[in-house]
Amino acid sequence: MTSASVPQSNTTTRSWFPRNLWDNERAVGVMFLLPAVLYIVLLVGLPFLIAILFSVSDVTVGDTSLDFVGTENFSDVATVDGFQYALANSFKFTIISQIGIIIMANILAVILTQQFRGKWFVRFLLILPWATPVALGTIGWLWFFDSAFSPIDWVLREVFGLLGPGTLLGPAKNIVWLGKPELAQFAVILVQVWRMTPLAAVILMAGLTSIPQDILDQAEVDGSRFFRTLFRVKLPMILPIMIISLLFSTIFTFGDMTVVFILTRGGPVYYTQILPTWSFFVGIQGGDLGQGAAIAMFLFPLLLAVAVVMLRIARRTEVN
Amino acid sequence: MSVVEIKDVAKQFGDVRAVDGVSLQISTGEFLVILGPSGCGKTTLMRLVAGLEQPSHGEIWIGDRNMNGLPPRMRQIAMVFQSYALYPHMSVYQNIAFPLKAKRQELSKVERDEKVHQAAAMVSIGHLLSRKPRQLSGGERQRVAIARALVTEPMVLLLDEPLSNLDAKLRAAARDELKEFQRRLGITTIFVTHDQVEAMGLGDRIVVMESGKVQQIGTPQAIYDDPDNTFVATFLGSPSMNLLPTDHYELGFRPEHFLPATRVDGSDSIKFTFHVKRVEYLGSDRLLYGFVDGFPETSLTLAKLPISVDDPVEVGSSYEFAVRNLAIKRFDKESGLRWDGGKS
Ligand SMILES: Nc1ncnc2c1ncn2[C@@H]1O[C@H](COP(=O)(O)OP(=O)(O)OP(=O)(O)O)[C@@H](O)[C@H]1O
Ligand SMILES: [Mg+2]
Repeated sequence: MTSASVPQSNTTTRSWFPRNLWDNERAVGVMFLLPAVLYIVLLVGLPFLIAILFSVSDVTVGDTSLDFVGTENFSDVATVDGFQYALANSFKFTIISQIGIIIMANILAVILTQQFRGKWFVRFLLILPWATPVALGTIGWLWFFDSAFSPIDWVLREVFGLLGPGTLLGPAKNIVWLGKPELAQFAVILVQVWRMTPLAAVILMAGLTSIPQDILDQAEVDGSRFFRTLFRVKLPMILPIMIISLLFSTIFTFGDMTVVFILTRGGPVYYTQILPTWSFFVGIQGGDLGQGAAIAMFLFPLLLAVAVVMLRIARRTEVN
Repeated sequence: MSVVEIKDVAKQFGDVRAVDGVSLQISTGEFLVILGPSGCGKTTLMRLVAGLEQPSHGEIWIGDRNMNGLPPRMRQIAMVFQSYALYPHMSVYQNIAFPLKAKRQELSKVERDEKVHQAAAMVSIGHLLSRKPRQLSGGERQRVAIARALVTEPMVLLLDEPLSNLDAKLRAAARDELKEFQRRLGITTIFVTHDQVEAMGLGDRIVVMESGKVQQIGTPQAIYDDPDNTFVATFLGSPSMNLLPTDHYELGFRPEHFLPATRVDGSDSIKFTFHVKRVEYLGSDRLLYGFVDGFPETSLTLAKLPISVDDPVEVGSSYEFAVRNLAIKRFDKESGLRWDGGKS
């Protein structure tokens, strides 16, 4: 350094912004956290508090005054048929679809981590259901399950001859997927599996490709073949990732109302009713905000449990 | 009798020729070290023997069978990777038992259990069987990897730089242990390393490789004393061999053979005037950096004086130094090959 005229920008404090603030880790930390904190407080925390407040009050769309009624809303909603179906279905649909998702996602992830031509195209196709807005995708499925024009029915009838008078699946010309309790439930679960599988598969693929090549080579040298390597080495190694993906899709499935709302609106009768749709029908369409909030409150324990498990896993992987 | 025979094997990756026409024979119970700089194709050669890669050319025979096209599990080999590649979710016991189960050896539970305990005892890790790999030290992991390799009683043990993840002290201990243990079991071993000290200490024979080709095969002493070419001459030894260009050939001699003339038997030696430019004290040795008369100042020449040679040496002064004729190697200037025919 020969010249003294070189501006020493890091020591002059001409700007209004105190330079050394960036050196203050506390201040910088607070600044970086602030947007996230605001987001959570305003868009998650506040509505949650309001929901709790509503669930213990007599608020309706017509009378927005909040009068404390204790647990009255909870006991009122709990005795209604629709609610009991909704509660049971919420768990049933979520659990069954998670089983489907994890099986499908594993199969897809294993296939898509093999070497073959046109892999990128298959991967692209795989992502589509997930990239499509839920509502759009579900409307597509609504047409698939149409009572008169279902293409599934058409294939069964015209291609395989399994549908129609004097055939295996009966005299009717249509299956009417969404009109029969079991089939409607099956349809809802199928669409949930269809829409959550891609995300789970992508997460599992990331897990599979992160297994060190050395380990796979070692397994080969040790004499292990495809299925042993898969079930004894690969899948156990990505188990933590699999659990995370399972928890994610559990939350998404459990809290989703779009699929049921578009496909069946909870019907026939209450056979595909779930907590989110029931809460919407009672609270918003029925106008009883207090009861709607009370119904939604039943989602909370499971979501809380899932969140706790997730955080524990996250902490465990952090320690290792 | 040779257990492994590598016949003119080549391996091409795209336009990289990782292994280029290697031929080798390894006899029963031999400890063969493959030595070479990074990227010279050592690991690739090992993977070819293991069956993790198939040769682009040539044949690999193990125990009198042509192994081309056969997967690793049919080759009666075991391999230890540089990273040890322990299955992180399995206990030490499960790790060692894995090849037994995977190779579908017809074993009862009791027999298998016995084999696992035997293998563990061989490398003294019997007390660690219930631990997970992450609860082990580097040295312990290495032993687990070796136990897992030995449990199936392979014909050939392949080790790819198994000591490079250990710290210096542990490495020396592990090296001795490995050698002792290989002798005791008499298992044919191929050991890959880029560390010449490791190679000299462990190998019955050393294969020196460079850019996919074998440069020389021989006992540690033969390789050190009688290098076939300038690559081998300069790759082994620290500091490396002095090479002085003359009109007809390159003159090579090791720094430890370059001594004050009074210390060398005068009748059969070549004398040089040595200008000392720098002196380094290394405790047991002195390293002298300089150049010799008759050669350009840029061809740096080193002398390594053991502590017993206590002649005073001053920086900037010149001395009469000499090398015994026997210690001098001559290499062709173009090809780098030994000019005096080698095998002196
Ligand atoms: N699968 C592969 N595809 C393409 N090139 C490869 C592959 N494996 C190795 N090579 C190339 O072959 C050459 C030899 O690699 P190799 O791993 O055998 O070297 P090495 O002697 O084991 O080196 P190091 O001491 O660093 O382990 C290198 O140039 C490397 O880039
Ligand atoms: Mg290597």
